[in-house]
Amino acid sequence: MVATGIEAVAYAGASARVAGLKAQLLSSADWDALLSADSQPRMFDALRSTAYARAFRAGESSEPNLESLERHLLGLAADNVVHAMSQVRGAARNLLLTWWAHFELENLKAVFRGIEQGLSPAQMRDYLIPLGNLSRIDWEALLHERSVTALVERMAGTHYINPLRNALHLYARYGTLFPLEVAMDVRYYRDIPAAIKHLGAGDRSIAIRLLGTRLDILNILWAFRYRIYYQLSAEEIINFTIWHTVHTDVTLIQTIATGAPIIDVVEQIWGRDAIDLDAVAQARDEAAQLPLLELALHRYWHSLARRAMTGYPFGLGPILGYLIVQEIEVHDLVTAVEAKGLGWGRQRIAQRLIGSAASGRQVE
Amino acid sequence: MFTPAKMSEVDIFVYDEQVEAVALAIARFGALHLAEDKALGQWATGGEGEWSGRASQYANQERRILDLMRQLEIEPEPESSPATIDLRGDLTRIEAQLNAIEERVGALREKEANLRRALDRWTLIRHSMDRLAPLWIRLSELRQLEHLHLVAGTIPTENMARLEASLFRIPYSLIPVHRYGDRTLIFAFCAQEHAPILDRALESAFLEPLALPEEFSGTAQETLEELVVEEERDRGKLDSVRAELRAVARESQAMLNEMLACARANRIVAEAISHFGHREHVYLIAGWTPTDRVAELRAIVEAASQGRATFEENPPESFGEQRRVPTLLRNPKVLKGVEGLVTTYGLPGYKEIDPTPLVAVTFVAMFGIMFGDLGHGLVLALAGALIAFRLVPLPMKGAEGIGAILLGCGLSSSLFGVLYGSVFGLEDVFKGLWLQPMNNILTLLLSAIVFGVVVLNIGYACRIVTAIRAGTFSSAIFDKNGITGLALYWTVGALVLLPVLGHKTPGILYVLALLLVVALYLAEPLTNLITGQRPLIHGSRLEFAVQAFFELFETAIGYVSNTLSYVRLGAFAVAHAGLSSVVLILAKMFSSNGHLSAASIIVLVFGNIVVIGFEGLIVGIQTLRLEYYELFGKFFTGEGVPFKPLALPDAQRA
Repeated sequence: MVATGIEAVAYAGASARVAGLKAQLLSSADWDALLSADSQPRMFDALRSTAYARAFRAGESSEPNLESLERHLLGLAADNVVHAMSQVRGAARNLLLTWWAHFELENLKAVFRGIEQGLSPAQMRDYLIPLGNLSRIDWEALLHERSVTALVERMAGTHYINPLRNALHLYARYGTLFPLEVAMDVRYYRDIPAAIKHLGAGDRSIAIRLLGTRLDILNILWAFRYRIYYQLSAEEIINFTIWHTVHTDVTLIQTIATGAPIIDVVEQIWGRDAIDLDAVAQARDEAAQLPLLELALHRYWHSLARRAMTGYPFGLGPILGYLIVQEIEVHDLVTAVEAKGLGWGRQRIAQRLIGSAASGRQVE
Repeated sequence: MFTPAKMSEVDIFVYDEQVEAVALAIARFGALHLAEDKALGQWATGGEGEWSGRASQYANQERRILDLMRQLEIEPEPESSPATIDLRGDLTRIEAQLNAIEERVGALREKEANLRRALDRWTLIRHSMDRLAPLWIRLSELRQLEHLHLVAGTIPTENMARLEASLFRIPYSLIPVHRYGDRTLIFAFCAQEHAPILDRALESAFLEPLALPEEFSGTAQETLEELVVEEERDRGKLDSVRAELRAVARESQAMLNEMLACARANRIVAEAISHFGHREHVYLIAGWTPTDRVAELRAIVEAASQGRATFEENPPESFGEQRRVPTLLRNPKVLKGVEGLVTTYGLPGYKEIDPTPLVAVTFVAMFGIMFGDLGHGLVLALAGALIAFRLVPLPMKGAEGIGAILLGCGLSSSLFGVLYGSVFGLEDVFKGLWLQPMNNILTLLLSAIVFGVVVLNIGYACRIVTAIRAGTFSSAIFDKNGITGLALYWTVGALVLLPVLGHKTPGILYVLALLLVVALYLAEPLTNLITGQRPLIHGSRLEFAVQAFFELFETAIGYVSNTLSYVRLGAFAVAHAGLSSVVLILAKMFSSNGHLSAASIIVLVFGNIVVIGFEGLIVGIQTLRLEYYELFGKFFTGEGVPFKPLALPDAQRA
């Protein structure tokens, strides 16, 4: 069911704006110039001639601080969500606000890691995505905390406080941030389905397809990662993942936790043809399969977003689609910049990218 | 009044060693609005460097002091600033004092938290023992179970279902014992050989184990009795820790307030310096100050710099188009509430007219016309006076201004009540000096339109004055709200009114109207012709022709709709009389044999409260609508930059 009548009219302005923003996505010629650059500084020069030039600080030299550049690129993605929010109202706006909060979550994790490592507030600031004035969190206060325990208490008043307090004794016992990060992740990703629930039927369906798929992907990747990389027990894997998403539930997580093969699980959820798993199947073991699975799942998500972006214009689909495609483009840029710094060749970098450059397709 | 305060641009050049003293003096003076970084040109530093770092350190100290005050339940004193500040030295001094208090408070707070946790734990153990009491089993035996693994503890209630799902590989038993907050106290059992699985599952569900102290080895009943003693002991300790905290609060209250004022003042000054221009050994402090305070500013700068600063004043005429001069409104205190109404719409630009005095008159008059009743007006005036003169506790800062508006509106309503002969809706108590709204509807509506014409013409006049002040003379002539628009408005008005009033229409009026229409139609090319801008028409001629036609059409429609909009003044006056008469009729229905009964008195009181509250609110909104849309739209853009001087909390202010 698609939005019609007044609802559709309300989306007309937003669709027009998204249509304009789509033109700022990198073209294949842009990607070509970026990947063909013979060094990282040349790649920065190529990037400066795109819409991402804003990520470079004014007056910055040709070799900017990589961390800062990455954070500013993500800041542009966060800005885009804020701009999109200003175009819509009600439940759609609330969903975009909730989606925007994942940038905030990234920053929170960065602060926890910074405090844990004893970084100064100035050092930690470099690791934060610029979020403008929308965030209600007092970041300066967080940056000046001196211990993880005090930082947790500083979160009082946010919806993260109870999960963090619950996980704090595990941090105290094992001295790792892992339980705190899991607690925040699980708490945050419960908000997305709650926000989707309030949308109208047409928007709800597209939001479930795009953001619900994101939750499916995350939950599956977490479960496999806990099993393959961290060798956690089945009980721990179930407790450290999301209770249920669109296509995952406790039974599926139990299956993963007790050793189900990666390809079987993916095919059980999305069938045989939706996701290209050839590369995954050819990997030598599960540890090697996992990064390839992550890439394959994100490419699938990207294809859903691209389709939504160019689909029926009078609904939430094009907006969400654009925001996801653009954020993936930013992640691809970060990958490309880092890989170029390591001296990787064009082909090798392209294989690691999620978006259009990797698949050789053009963003319409 | 009528226009924003006249501003002068000042450039102050000071050497590095005097910048702190000068900045502090300027902040105490509180009347210099600093120029934006981009206005500093090559002097701009972008707010980076030593001073912004220092400002950040002071901001952090400010936050920590406020945190401490919150923890110690100390209310910060009204904002003040210290007699002297030492931008470099204060940082170290405050840090040392702050650390000492933080250490002391931190230790006590930790003790307090531990004792509270201990008391929570005793409570949980008590709940556990309550559950075990009927079994008459000894705790020492529970600790030495051979085949059974028992864990007691609390987990987040929302994790219960997931915990149970995670235990799919072993037989187990979970017993919820007591729920408190978002957690649940549970007993979990399984066979000894499955203990590691159960433990891992519980831990990953964020279980906080509840260990039974070794000294409790008797039965649950016996333990319950021992618990009472433990709880009493810890409660006593908690009380004494809280008493200590209160003592610390008393001791450090003055010091914390002093530190807060000092850190805040230092932060403000350091932030300001970080935005001053800087080259080599000289700082440039650029900004705007009211012209009538330049001499004072010059004196304090010279005193603070011991005569070594260079002070330049640029006359207002030299401000370029791109320099946005801040707006400082200086209205009498009694008009502050009305000024609030104006600034809610927008702040006048530096070269605009300040409509506050005009609004003060028209708002009050229009409210009175629509809500004319001696009784209702006096009630409103009384309520306004109570608020304006602070005779009742005020719910918010600045409520006095609202009180003053209410007082003015109430008095205006009373005056029109006298003109209409209406008191609490009764129209036969005394004879009105002018007319009764219900009996003279047409006269009232026509009078409202005449009033509207007067107000609109004031609006046009303001537009012309504003354009002249801004130096845009062509706009004053050709704008639809300028001289041409005003002339067309009157010409068309005459063409309509003369035949209606039975007079002959002179032919020259038609010619004049036609010329004015053409002038308005060609406003853009004519303006460009006079100002020497080329091309005369932007875009294609067809595009211009269509656009100009629709603009002209919209202008013509606007003249009619804007004028007729004021009909509502009369309509609401009639509605007010009508609504009041409904209350009287209802009261009459409840009266017995023509005498007032208790029920009819209740109806009268309640009905008048509704009329004053509900209708008063609607009339207020309608008045505001007429001000914002019909009057402000003529001349007021409201895009001014507020005058925000560099100022310490208790600075003199402009």
